[in-house]
Amino acid sequence: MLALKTGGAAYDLAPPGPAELAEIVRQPAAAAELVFETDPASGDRLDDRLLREADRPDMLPLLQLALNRLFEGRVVVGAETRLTITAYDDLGGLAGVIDREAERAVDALGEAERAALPRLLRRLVAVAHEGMGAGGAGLTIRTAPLGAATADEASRRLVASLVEARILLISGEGADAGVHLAHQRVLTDWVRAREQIGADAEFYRIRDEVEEQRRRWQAAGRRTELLLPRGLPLAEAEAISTRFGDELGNETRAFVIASGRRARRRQRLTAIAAVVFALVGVAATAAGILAWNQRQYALAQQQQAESERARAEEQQKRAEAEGKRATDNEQRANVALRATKLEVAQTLAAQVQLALRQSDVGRALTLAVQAGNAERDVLGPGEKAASEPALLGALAAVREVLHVKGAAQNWWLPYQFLDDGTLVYADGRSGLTAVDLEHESKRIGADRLGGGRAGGDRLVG
Amino acid sequence: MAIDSSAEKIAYAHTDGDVAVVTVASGATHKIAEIGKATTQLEWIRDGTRLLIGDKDGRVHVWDQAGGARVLIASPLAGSFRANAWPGQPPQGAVLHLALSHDGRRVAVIRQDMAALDIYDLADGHYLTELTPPWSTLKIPAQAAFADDDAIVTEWAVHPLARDKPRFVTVHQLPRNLEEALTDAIARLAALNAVRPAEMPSEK
Repeated sequence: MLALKTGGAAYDLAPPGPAELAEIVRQPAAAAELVFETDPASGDRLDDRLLREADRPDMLPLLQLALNRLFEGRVVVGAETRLTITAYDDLGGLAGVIDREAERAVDALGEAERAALPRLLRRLVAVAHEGMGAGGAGLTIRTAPLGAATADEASRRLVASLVEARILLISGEGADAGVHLAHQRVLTDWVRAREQIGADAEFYRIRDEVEEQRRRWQAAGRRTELLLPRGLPLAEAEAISTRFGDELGNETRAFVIASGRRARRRQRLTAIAAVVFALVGVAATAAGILAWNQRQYALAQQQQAESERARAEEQQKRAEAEGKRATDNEQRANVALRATKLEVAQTLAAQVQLALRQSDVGRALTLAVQAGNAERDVLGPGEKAASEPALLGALAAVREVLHVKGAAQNWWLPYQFLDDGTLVYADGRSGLTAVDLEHESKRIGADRLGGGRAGGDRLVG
Repeated sequence: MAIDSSAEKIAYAHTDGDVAVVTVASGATHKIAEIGKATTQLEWIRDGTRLLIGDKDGRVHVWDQAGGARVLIASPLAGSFRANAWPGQPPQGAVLHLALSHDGRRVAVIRQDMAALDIYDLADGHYLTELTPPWSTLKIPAQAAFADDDAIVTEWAVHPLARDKPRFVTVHQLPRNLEEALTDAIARLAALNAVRPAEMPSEK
């Protein structure tokens, strides 16, 4: 049969509707005088139950299978040959028929064929986009290329056995021939298949997401940005690609490979960028450290300069204070020295008077000179010199002594009256001096000057 | 009587000793009561702001319009020889003559019965020195005046009763300040030291 179908000798009819199903169930039985048993308790006829459970047109293969099994379990009651409810219940209904027939088909195969079942199921089951559920809920059947589904011998025998058991159906011809599960209920009613599908739930989800993304990628002209992004999606895609190999199909595998290459290329670029950024960061950090060090150095220099300046200012203040103290000390010393000199001068002047009373003119003159020398440098402007009277007194005394002793005549100054009454005299310092005695005539008297002329003459002579 | 150098004020003393100052322009008279009836000499200081007044006690007063009169020079009666016992003579120590230096710094005073011409500092009445007669025989100063260079010209008489007949005239060129006094003194001391061993072996 499989050979005939693959050879293009089959003609697929359109799925029958409820009326056709009813004919399919009842007409052959009526022709063979078979009677569908009626449940005495509920009055429900077996054929109605069959049609009710075979609620979809694609249930026809299973329905045929169930009818065969009911015929095999027919019971002759009187003149009737009945298809019994008991036999149908023993089958477990249509669900039981599916599981039983599928298991019988698989059990007849070897281990290699059974091992190919998961791979086959993964080809025939896909995610129903209304959502996944436990036990096959959320999954749907799909058609797989027959060639791919029967790529090896074990798979081919498995498919042939399941087709024969009405679990799989073959549609199309030639290269377009495909195989698919006979009904959605296989996913739930065949226990082995349900468990295997549950175990592969992640596979279905990942494959569905990858293929969906692959379709968008292809529809968009294979734009790079629509490849699988790096991270969990790519990791999951690469994981199922590695594990399940060609089950994904060449296009999906190429899509995964391209996504991986792009991701790794971007990863390398990212790594390179990271390295570059790291280098830049290191350089920036180094520059920052250098700048920070330079700033710290500058701050240290500034602090040192400020410290030096403060120290210099302090030293300047100290120097100024020392200078002021020195100036004050000098001033005090000068004041003290001045006071001492003035006191010495006064003492010496007093001693001059004593020496004069003792007629010790030499000592008086010496002391007077000492007194004058002592205070001459410390007298302020207009300040009276204590030594001046002493000097004048000593000078007067020594003049008298010199005169009295006849040692010299310099006590007297040579003078002469001129005819106009002017007195002319000479001294050792200023030479000739003329005195207008008319100016002083009221005090001296011209007549008296005349009287003095003889004395003067006499003194001069 | 004394007329100031600008002839604006006239000071005069009555015979009983009272002193009055007359302002020539206004004729106002100001009586100087502080001196009492003892005035013997009047002399205006050359700038005309102060009046020197000698009294019978040998003192010299200074008077000015603002401060009135005060004693400038006290009386040094020690050393007098009491010639006033002679009839008609002033009292012992009475100021007989005042002479002012041209630089306004010194005043020379002659007193009754005093043998020396006393020189004072005019600023404060400080005693400076005295000029004595050239020999030990009794001589008294009769008149004194300051020459233009402030050399002191003095007439000397042989007795207080012969003041009007002076016998000698001396000229003293006193040092005008401390520096000149020191210079003179040092020169005199050198001369003295040069001649004393030979000339003054027995000074006593």
